[in-house]
Amino acid sequence: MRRVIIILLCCLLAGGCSALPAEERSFAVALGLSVREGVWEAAARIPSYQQSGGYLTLQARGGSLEEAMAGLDASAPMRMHYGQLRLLIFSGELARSGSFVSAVEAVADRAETRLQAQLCVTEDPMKGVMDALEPQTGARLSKSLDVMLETRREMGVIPDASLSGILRMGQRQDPVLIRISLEDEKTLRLTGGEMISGAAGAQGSLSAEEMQLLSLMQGKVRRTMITLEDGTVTIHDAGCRLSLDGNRACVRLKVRCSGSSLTAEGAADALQREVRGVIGRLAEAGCDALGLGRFAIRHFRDAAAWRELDWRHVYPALEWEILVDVQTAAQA
Amino acid sequence: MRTTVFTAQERRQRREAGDRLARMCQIRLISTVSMLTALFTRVIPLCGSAGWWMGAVCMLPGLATYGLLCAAIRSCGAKTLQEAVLKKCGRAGETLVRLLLGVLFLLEGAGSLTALVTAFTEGIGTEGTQFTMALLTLGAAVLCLHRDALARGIWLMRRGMLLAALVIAALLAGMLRPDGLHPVLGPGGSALQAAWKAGCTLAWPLILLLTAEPAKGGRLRAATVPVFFSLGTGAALCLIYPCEMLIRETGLAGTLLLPARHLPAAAATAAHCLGMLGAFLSIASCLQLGAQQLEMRRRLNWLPFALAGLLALLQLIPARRLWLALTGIMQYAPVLLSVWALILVIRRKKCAE
Repeated sequence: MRRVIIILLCCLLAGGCSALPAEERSFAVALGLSVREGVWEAAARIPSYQQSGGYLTLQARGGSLEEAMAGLDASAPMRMHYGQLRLLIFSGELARSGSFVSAVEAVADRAETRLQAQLCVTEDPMKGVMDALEPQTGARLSKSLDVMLETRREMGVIPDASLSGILRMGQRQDPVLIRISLEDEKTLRLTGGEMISGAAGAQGSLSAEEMQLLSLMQGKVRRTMITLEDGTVTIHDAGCRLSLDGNRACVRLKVRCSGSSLTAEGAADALQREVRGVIGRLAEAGCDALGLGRFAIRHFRDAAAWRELDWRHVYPALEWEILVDVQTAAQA
Repeated sequence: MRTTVFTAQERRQRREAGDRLARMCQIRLISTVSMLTALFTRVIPLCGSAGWWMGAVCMLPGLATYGLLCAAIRSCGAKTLQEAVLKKCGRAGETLVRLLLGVLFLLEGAGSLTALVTAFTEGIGTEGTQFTMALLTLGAAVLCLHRDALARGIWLMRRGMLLAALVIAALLAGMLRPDGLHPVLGPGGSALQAAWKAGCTLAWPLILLLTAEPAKGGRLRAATVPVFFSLGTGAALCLIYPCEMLIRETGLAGTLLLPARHLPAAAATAAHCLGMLGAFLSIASCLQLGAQQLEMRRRLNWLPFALAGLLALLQLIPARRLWLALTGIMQYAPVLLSVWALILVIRRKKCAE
């Protein structure tokens, strides 16, 4: 009986797996897509697999996304694999075009794509952005990017824009992507967010501070330091509750903070003003980043009725009530 | 430490009780794998976010048949379905029921094999073809076809498999969203009708629990694990993925791999391994139990191997066509079992002592 179990486990573990070893694949750490005047360009950052280490950028062009990706596969030294993808970067032009959603779906539909890859938007030349992707910490670019993204997400200055999370939003929420820019030839800056409004694509950007406030409202960040117009506030704990009643949305933000220059009332006023500003920006862009669509859909019996509502038109017209409760460290 | 000494008769009774437990565990695994496969590939892709309650509705006919058959078996003092049919309908009836059960076990095994092979060749992506993957799977399965060891092995592994499922569930917990259960009717009226038509025999595998003697806890307890596990997993799927994403996946490989697709790589691999193990053990069990039914009380040692060969040959048919044929047959074949249930309940022939 024991022999049967052991044989069974050996067969299951040893049989049916792909035989292609890792050193015979080009694992793309970052993939960049852009389109200009109908010409698609795909760029990938892969390890050079040389003894000296280092990374190289592959580029390919085509009349369609599939052609460009095929060109990338053809120009790679080994079979391309996207199972280690960390960044999926779109050019600003592509992000604002009608092809953005189909491009995201096309990449996601590839069976080996790592769905935890983060989506970014850049206005800088894709080649320059790719070439600037070098490991800052440790020996591997993938690890370096993981650490950098995690640190910035904890601060709240960039959103959690994983491909998996964005796909699972469906039609109930809109994503905010990471803004990536070149500071100089060798330094990249990941800060702020790019608001996406469904099929319309990118509709504007959020600064790092606005992104922090959005992260607080989404519940992604509970501790951070925010620079407001009136002063700096160090938040030790935060919680946010959203609700939707007909055409009236309510944001209840509860914050425990310490600020050298602001009283509790001052901090609450400043936060309320800034939060209202962020919500106004989101409404103007038609970007339901807070996911109020998830509350609205509960009132509909079937998908056809939900589509009839046309949430894209209802969302920007919502009335907002923002309640901020600030407790300073002294009061606590 | 106190040592209990059992008599020979007590030892035999304890071994028989253990074997009944193991056999029940084996059939529960077949039922769970079958119901989960049907839920993921037939019901949820049609009704989307309505899958969490539609699954329960689709189980009602199977549960009713199971209840009727339990009552019929108890009423004539039999221990298994075959015994009850023998007492009420005679030898001819028992032969027919055994034949039907044997064929249903085989169809179930063929379905699990097609699903497993397709998930690997089209979904995960392997170097093998449909036929070679089937040969590999069945080759390993025949090595496990020990009369008692397979059931005991499954019984031994049950807690490990359940623990792995709980760990994967814990990893998925962070992805749950309550709005995933909405809209309550999913895509709407005609989609629900199609889901009902495709899934109304969802719970038929519970009837297989009646082919073995009941273990400690009775028949009701035996049916609860497959039912609640399947419904719980279906509900979790609806909570993780929005309706528009669930109805987008229509291919066999896509629907089978969707539950683990968005997990981090290590967790996804663990989920694939668990699914693979469950499907594999289900295939081996279907071969063994199907052969036992078709043997008709004789000992035909070559029969399981012949049936394995038959299942392998079936994989020469293109996967999509084979899957359509199998699901078409499985939608209606269990109706025959329901008819037997009615005959057993209605028939007033006195049971032989």
